[in-house]
Amino acid sequence: MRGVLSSFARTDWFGPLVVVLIATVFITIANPSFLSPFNIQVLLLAVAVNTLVALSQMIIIAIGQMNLSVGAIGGLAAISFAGMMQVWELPVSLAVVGGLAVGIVAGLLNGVFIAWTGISAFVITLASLSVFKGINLGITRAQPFYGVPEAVKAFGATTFLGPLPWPVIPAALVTFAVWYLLNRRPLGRYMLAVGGNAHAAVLSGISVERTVIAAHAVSGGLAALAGILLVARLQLGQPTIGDDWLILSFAAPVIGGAVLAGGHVSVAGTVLGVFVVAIITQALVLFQIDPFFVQVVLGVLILWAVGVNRFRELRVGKATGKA
Amino acid sequence: MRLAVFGLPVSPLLLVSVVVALLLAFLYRYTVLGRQMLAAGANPAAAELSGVRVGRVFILCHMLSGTLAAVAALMVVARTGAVIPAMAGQLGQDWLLPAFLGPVLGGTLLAGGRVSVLGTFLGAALVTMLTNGLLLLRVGEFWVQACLGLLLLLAVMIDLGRRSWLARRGVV
Repeated sequence: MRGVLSSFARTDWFGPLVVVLIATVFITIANPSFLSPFNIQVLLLAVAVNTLVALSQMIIIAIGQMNLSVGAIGGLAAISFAGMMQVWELPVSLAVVGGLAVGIVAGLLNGVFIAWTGISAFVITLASLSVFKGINLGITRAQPFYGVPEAVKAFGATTFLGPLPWPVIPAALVTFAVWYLLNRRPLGRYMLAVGGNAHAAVLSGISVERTVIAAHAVSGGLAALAGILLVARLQLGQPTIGDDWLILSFAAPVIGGAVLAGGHVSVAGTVLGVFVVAIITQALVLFQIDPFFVQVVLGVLILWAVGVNRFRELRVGKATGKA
Repeated sequence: MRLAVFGLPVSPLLLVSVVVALLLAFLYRYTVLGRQMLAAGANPAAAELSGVRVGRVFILCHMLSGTLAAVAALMVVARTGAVIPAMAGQLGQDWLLPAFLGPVLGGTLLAGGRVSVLGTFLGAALVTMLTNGLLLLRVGEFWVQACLGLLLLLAVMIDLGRRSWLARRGVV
């Protein structure tokens, strides 16, 4: 029993899982409406979108970089998706492909610039954050697209099997695909290798440039899908989609045990990290605490998680004899 | 209120930033603490071995950074005559890009260890003039942000080209 427990405790997802369970029990005792079907539906909708946002950042954390433009790419893809359906009157399926393509190309541009110039990803994505957000505002002139087809609205508003919202399905499929990529495909292993030690990766015959570009393209695609799902959920193509993704996109992977220096991420941990953030955000609302405190709580949560990760690293380092 | 310098109208706020810039230039050029900051940025391990208390220097750097941001905030309040909670945009994002544009255009190394106060001052002036000029050219206020982002990309690219040119000529 003790061996099982300690082997669980060593995994990345154990900490956030315990936090999720304890928080659920406490909040349900204090306010039974927390587990009402409607609240579960709202919670899962938020989790479905935020999981994709968090995975988009997680892929970049895996290669040891940062992507500040996750929200800008998501917003640009979202308004492209809504705009294609309203202005060009394209069918939904083509608009989805178009929105995803916008996101993948945007991520590709990020990756190409970073790999080609060798400048830190922080600065390149800061610049592209501004460019993508500027294009977004230039196209929309800060006005939302209201002409979202009924099928898309229904997808974001209806549920199946009781309280499960439909956007959970693409989110779950993509989450599994990202896990498969990082754990079972050569490309995913290359990404982790580049993040762990770029020099060693080059010496092992991995093309760092190509891996970085691929990681940014995947990240752009995930951000775009999150933006498209958010259009379905909000029922309109808001230009402000993505403005508040940045903190969350770092909080969830870090809570899930990702090492910001790169080379170590956990898909299950990240998903549970999204749950932690969503439950805490909801709890603040249920207990009628000022919603502006959500930002403060998220910031403190990131600092705490980074501290815990550092402590675990040091302990593992001591046990295996290297720092 | 307007001051006149050589017949040109000058905002007193500009005097504040000039004085602060001069103080910073003095700090980085002539004081032990300023040199320690640069040394800690260039190579923390070497700085530590040379007797610089790197941890303490980092804390002082962040305190200085916070103070400068506070001075900028006070100047904005003085200029607009009002205090708005979202003054610097969502999570201060409106200040993030100019904050990087100025130093990078001015030749500050992103890797740390080298700063140029005069360059940063001129970089910030260039950003302000470009924003103003783009608005006068009627580019449309919504495209200004995209142009500033492209400018930052261009600036880092020029900086990269400049350094590889200097390296080829064997100057650095």
